[in-house]
Amino acid sequence: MDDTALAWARARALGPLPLTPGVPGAPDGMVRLERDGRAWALPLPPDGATPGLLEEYQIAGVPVERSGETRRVLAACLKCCWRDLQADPWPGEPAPVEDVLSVYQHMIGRSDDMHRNWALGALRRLCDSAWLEQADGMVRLGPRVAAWTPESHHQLRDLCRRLPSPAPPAAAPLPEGAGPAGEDGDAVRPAGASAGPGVDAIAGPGVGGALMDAETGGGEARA
Amino acid sequence: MSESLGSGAPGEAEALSLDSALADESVLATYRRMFAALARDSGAVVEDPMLVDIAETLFAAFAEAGEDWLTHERMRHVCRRFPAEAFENRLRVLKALGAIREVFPKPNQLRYRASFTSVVGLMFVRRMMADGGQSEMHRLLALEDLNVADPRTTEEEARASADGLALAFRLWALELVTLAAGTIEELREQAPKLWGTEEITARAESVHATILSRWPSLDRVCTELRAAVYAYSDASRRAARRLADSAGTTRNLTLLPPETWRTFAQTASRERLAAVLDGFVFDAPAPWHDPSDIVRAVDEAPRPAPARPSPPRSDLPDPGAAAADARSDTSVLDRLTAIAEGALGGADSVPVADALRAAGDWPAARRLLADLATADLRPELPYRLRWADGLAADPGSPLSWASHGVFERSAAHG
Repeated sequence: MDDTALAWARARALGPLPLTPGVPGAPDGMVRLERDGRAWALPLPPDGATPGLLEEYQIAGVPVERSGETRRVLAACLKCCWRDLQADPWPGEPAPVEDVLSVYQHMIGRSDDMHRNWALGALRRLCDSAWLEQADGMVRLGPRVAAWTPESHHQLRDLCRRLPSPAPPAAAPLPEGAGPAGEDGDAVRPAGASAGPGVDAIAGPGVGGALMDAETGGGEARA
Repeated sequence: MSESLGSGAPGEAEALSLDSALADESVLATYRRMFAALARDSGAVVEDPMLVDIAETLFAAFAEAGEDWLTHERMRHVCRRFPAEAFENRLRVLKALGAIREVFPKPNQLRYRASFTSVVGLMFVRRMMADGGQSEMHRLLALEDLNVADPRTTEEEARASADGLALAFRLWALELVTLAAGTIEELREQAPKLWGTEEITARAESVHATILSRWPSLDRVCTELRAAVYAYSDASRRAARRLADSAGTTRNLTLLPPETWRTFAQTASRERLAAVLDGFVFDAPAPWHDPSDIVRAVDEAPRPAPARPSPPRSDLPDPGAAAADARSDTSVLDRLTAIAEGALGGADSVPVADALRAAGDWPAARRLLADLATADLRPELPYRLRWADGLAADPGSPLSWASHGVFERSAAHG
């Protein structure tokens, strides 16, 4: 059988194909992704066509289980893993699962166990479909996020700016996170963003949480 | 029955003679009697199946009664489980239409007899209700087959018979076509009563063949009949296919009876069985999360209800409602105890009238009485009011009358 056709069929059924790291090349029409000594071949249709195109032809795409919840969890992961908003989401940084869950809980305003478990279920489904990778309590963006076209990144950038940061500001990411935070603060709303990290550091999670709610509210009004 | 089918177009413009009027009247009388069981009043068909039940019960009773016939009382007795009003109404209609008649046509007749035509009509109607005319068509075709083969049958009779059958098949096919274009539920409900079997088509064709071979001059009528039969079997097949298709595509297993599914599973070829899963993708691609969908999902996230600001508080120190309640409760108890002890004055019990008189004027006595009653009603206080039957009247004093009774410290509480 034709190798290319076989590779495409396999990728359609199983997701991005794992490749041998270090050996260049990918099946026709696929893009080669590498990160931390691992490599994938991701099918990339020409002309930036994505499965989202189906909607324009009014054809139902593949059904998503609990779509709203799953996509909100994916958004929370983006917020945590996509630190440098000027770059592409892929490859992104690893982030603790707890951070993702706290962003998600702030987003929906519920912190009970049921919603937490649902979010964990959504994480698992996203990992199964290669949108995320999860190991040792850390989450990374999966190879499939590289299929988003560069033109669509600005929507996600706006979204990430609107979303609250993870609730307890960990000691390690703060210094390096101050740079991007200040940058996007300059772009969107200088006052709020410049106050953000400082207040968090001094007053702790309670005040920070209240401030984040206010920011989320503002973002929603703007949208 | 073939008559009623055959007389579809009686529109002859003959001159009205007394004879023809009489013939018309006798045909009408047959029709009326035939459908009397279904008539609500003399002008319309029943709306309530109970009315048909009454008629059926009556006919059964007539059959049992034999030559004794039935009196009005017997009829009422037989139909005792139906409401009297419904029964009387029914009887009036049946009499008016001739289904039940006096035994002898003379005034003050007490005995009644039933019309045979009405009973046959009712049997026919019941059968039509059960299977929607399909078995009736079977019977009719079998009869027609015998009729046209009968050497005594004339060409005119054969023509009428072929016309009637063609008309019936056309109407039948039309109904099926309408159903097949309608909703699938209606089709499922109605079609099995209507669509034909091979047998009906075969019988119709045999009638057609007999007529055509015996009276070749009737070829025009026979062409009509043939076309009607084919139209019917086409419509029937189309309705069946529509039902089967929709049952297949919707995977609504209730659209066809379980036997049909089982037969299909047992008899279908491997390719047909495999075709059932044609639309299924077993290695479905992973779901796609479009950036705009993600943004929309976040925007549509359920928002927590915003915390409501508490109402403004006064600047004055306020211990809060709970504290005020608790304090007032103990203070009330203290006050009641003091009043009760004051009324008792050291004794264990005191007549209520004396205690009230000691209070002085009526307003004060009234307040005291209210407090004593309150103390009595407080289970945690050891004071009780015990009333007696007597009544003391003293018009001069502020306490002009008083029930006898004592206020006492109850023993239980010491």
